[in-house]
Amino acid sequence: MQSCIGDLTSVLALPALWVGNEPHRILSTLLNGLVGTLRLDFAYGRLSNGSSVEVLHLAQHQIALTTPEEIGRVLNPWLISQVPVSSFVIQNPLGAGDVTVATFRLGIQNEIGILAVASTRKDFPTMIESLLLHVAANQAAVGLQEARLMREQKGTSEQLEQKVAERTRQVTALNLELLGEITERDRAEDEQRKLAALVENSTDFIGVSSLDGQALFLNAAGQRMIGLEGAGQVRATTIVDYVVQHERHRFEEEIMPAVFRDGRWEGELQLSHFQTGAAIPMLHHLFFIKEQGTDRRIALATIGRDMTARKQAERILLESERKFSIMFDKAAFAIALAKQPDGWIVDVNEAWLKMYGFSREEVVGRTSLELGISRDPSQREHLFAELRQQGSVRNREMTFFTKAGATRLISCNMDVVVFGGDRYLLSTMHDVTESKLSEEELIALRDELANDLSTMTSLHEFSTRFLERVELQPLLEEVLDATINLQDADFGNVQLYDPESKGLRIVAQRGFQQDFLDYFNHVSEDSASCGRALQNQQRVIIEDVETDPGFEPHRRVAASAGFRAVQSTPLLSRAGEPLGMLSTHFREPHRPSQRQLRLTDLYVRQAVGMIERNRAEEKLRRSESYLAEGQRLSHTGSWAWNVVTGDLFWSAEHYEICGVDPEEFTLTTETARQFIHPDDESHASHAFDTAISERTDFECDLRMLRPDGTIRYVHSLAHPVFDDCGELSEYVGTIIDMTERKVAEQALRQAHAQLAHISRVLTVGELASSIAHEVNQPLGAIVTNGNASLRLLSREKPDLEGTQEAIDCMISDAMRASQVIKGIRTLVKKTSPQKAPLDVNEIIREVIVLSASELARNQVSLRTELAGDLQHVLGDRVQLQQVVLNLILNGNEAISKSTWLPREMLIISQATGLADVTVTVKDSGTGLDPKDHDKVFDSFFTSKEGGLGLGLSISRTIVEAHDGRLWCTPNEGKGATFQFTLPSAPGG
Amino acid sequence: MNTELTPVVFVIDDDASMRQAIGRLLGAVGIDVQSFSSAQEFLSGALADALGCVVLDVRLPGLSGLDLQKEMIARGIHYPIIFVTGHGDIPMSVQAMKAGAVEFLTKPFRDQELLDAIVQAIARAAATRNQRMELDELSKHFDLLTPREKEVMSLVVAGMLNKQVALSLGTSEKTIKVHRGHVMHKMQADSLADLVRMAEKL
Repeated sequence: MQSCIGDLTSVLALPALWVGNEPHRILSTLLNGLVGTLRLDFAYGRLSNGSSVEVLHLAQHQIALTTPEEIGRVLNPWLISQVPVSSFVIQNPLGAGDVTVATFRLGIQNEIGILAVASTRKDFPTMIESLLLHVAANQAAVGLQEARLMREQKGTSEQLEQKVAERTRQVTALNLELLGEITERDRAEDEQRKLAALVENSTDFIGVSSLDGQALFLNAAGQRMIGLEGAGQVRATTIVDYVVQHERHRFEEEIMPAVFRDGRWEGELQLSHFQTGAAIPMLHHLFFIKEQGTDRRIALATIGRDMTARKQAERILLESERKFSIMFDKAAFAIALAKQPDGWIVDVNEAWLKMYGFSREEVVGRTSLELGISRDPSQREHLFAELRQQGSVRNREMTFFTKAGATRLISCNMDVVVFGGDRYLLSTMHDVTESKLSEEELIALRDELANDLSTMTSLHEFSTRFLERVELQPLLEEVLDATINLQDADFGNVQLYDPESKGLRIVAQRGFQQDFLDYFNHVSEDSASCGRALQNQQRVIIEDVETDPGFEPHRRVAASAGFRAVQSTPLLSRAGEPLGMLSTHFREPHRPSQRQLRLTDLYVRQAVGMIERNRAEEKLRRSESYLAEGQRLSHTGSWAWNVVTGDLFWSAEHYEICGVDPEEFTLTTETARQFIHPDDESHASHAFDTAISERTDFECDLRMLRPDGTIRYVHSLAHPVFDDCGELSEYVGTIIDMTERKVAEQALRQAHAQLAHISRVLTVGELASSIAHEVNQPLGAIVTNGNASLRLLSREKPDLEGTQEAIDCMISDAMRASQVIKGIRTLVKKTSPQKAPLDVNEIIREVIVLSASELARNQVSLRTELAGDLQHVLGDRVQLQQVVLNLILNGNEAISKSTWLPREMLIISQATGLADVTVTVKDSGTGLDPKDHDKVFDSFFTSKEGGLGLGLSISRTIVEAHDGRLWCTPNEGKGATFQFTLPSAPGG
Repeated sequence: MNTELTPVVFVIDDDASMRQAIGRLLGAVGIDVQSFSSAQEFLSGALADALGCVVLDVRLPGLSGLDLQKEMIARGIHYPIIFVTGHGDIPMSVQAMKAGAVEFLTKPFRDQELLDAIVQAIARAAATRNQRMELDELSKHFDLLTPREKEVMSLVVAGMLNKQVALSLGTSEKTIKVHRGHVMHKMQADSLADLVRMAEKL
């Protein structure tokens, strides 16, 4: 009992020990105490709140072979049972036999956990143990509860603290942000001020407009550029007003759509100055100003820069670049620019490319070593070292190679130059190969001369002969003979190159049979020696045709011809074009000596010279004959007159036109002048003198009087030629023999006049009855008045007053009749056209007199509206009368065929245009058939029965001969209108 | 019959000189002249009921001489016409004469030719005028007759006896006699032969 109370006391003391402890430690302490106090085999506890915690304590003698979880699993069926079980017996999980297990709840509803204690003792648990265990369980429950509460309390306070800390942080951050915003705003305002100053003081054009183009703002520089002053003026404009007129279409159709599409545009745009209208080339950047945040476009802005100065500078730069580039490219010597130290070629000029046979694309970016121009790296290194040391090299002769592999001896000047921090090697070079070669040859020749004077003599003789000879063929044969002699060859031939078939043809040969000639008649492929030499443009020597693999196809022919060795030397023009081939053949395998080949080269050069000269002469002859033929066909002679020396030259056709023989005639300025017809001399001289003094072209029509008295009409044209100093040095001109044309023109004019006359006579014939009426009318009045006078006089008291009146009338009627007759006579008279200043109205009135009764017969009422102050025209009275008469009669005819009323004709004369007189004849007749509209002026087109169809055609010819125009138009209502214009006479 | 009427010559010519010359000539022989420059002027201005003739140019502006001739016939203007022309051809003259022209003269003409033609024309005009006036008188008298009297007159002039007339009209001979008396009186006929002549003219 005592021990029991002691146990109880120690159990009751437990909670004090637990204060502030973790639940599982509390449980552990409890279980430990229970195992020790109650001599248990093991004690197991499980805490159920939160994460489940299992604790197991064993008696000291037990060996820990198990874990709390395993014990928990064994006990579990009882522990979780709904029915409260206080004790039960199970097989000892730790050893043999059974154990009695007592369970206690921690808390009222197991909410805290459960406690299980086990002992192998049979009496377990005794009452006291049970009580003790209950108390301990309760104590543990209280302790655990407290511990939990404490933990919760602690958690809450921690949470609270955490929240406070967080809020504090938030507030601090907020404060910081506020501070930042304030700073930001200050900064923004400051920036805005700076920006405004920047915009206002900028030298660029800065402007803002509304989206529909209304100007809102333009900075000072912009206003200055386009000549506006103040915001008021700016706001009265739209942006289109700024754009120069010829750019406006592009601005509205291309630029603005681009701005709206892409949001921006940048490019060149010309504005125009509001005051001066001058165009200002500018570079503009157009963009939108957007609302912050929404990106909505609220205005259009532009920044522009005046490009006038830049354009000018660009132009000057471009010009100078162009000049330099031309100088560079067209320089006579080769120039190359290579980057140092690598030697990459940056640029070369045309002369360089020509010298080495490359294209520009092939060389740029490569070195002379890579290109094979320079083949001696050590020479190159040496040169570079020298350049590094001295900076330049002068007149250095070096050996280079062309693309084709030919060796060239080049004289070089080299300088190291620096552009933009990079070092370049600038080389200028010219080819001295030829001169060197010649030099070498001359030296060789001099040596040879000592040994072989005869060869040299023959070559010399040959050269002399060549200079005298003209025919090509014998010269080529001589060259061939000389070469065969020189080389001691057995056969030989010369071929000429035909550019059309691109092949060689034999033109001279020695020692070959026909089959060989047939076989090699035309060579264009490259297996035989001549073909190969043509292909490579180099001499080809085949020492033995039997062993040369390339010659294989021709061996049979060679064997048949009897040669074993052959050499072919191409004849190349100075421009490198193939001209022909000189080949020599040998019976035995052989190779000509170097000396022989060098001499051969001299012969070849002679032959080339001969062929070239021959070709040039032929070309000249051909073009001369073309020119002569052309002059003969076109009757054009040409002449040239040297202003300084007075020398005069005439072409063959010029002599021909003047009718003299060039062999017999001595041409001087004086003798030439005698050909000019005396009547034309003054105006021709005047025209020529004027041309000379004004240094202009000369053009003149004149007549040439030939020695046989015949006259040639010529058109002379000349053009001044100036020497290098701009001084007039020569006149070069042509004379064209126009005689045939003149004669033809004259004949045509005569034929026209004849036709016009016939037409007039026919017209007058048509008018016969009207004319008779027109004459008889005054005659009738005269006779009647005469009779009346007689009767008045024979009265008892003669009526003298009445008689006088009658006689006055008779006189005026007689005048009238005579006028009509005169008019008719004029029309019918055959005269050659004569031009004089004429009053068109007078012509119209005269014709109306003749045609009035014809119109009356058709009951046509004629009205005239003749302008009072018309200028005179220069023309032939009769012909113009004929035109008016034709138009009136045509109108009359048209009206007579019409059933329309009223029957009217209107004749108008008026001044039109600057200095034209227009005559209009308008009728109310049948009008023009649209299908005939174009034909009415054709000859032999007529709508009259029995008409000849010449009237209108002749009228048009006449008007056009007066430099006028005749045409017709249908009237609005009915009928047609014919009109013609004539230029008024100068001063008329 | 108004024989005391002065004859007048209407000269229509577009040529003023010719008009004046004819006027002067006719004036010299004491003939009254009225001149017109066109057909239209004549139609609107000439006296409708004068004793006279027309000297007419064939070729006139507007309505030609030959057209005027037709127009005058259509309008019942009965002046005889003398045509003058500067240049006439045969078809033209034939047409004019067929339509009743007195003469067709070609300018220049002899004065006597014209004067003769005018005398002839005026005589024809006078005759025509007399005939027309006589007929007018008769017509006036005839118009006074009753329809019955006209019937009686037509049968009497056909040569019927009173008895025959009465029979054909279904009345008595006595009634016919009274009608016949009225006819003779109204027509101012002196005898039956006179009445027959009058009937022929009507």
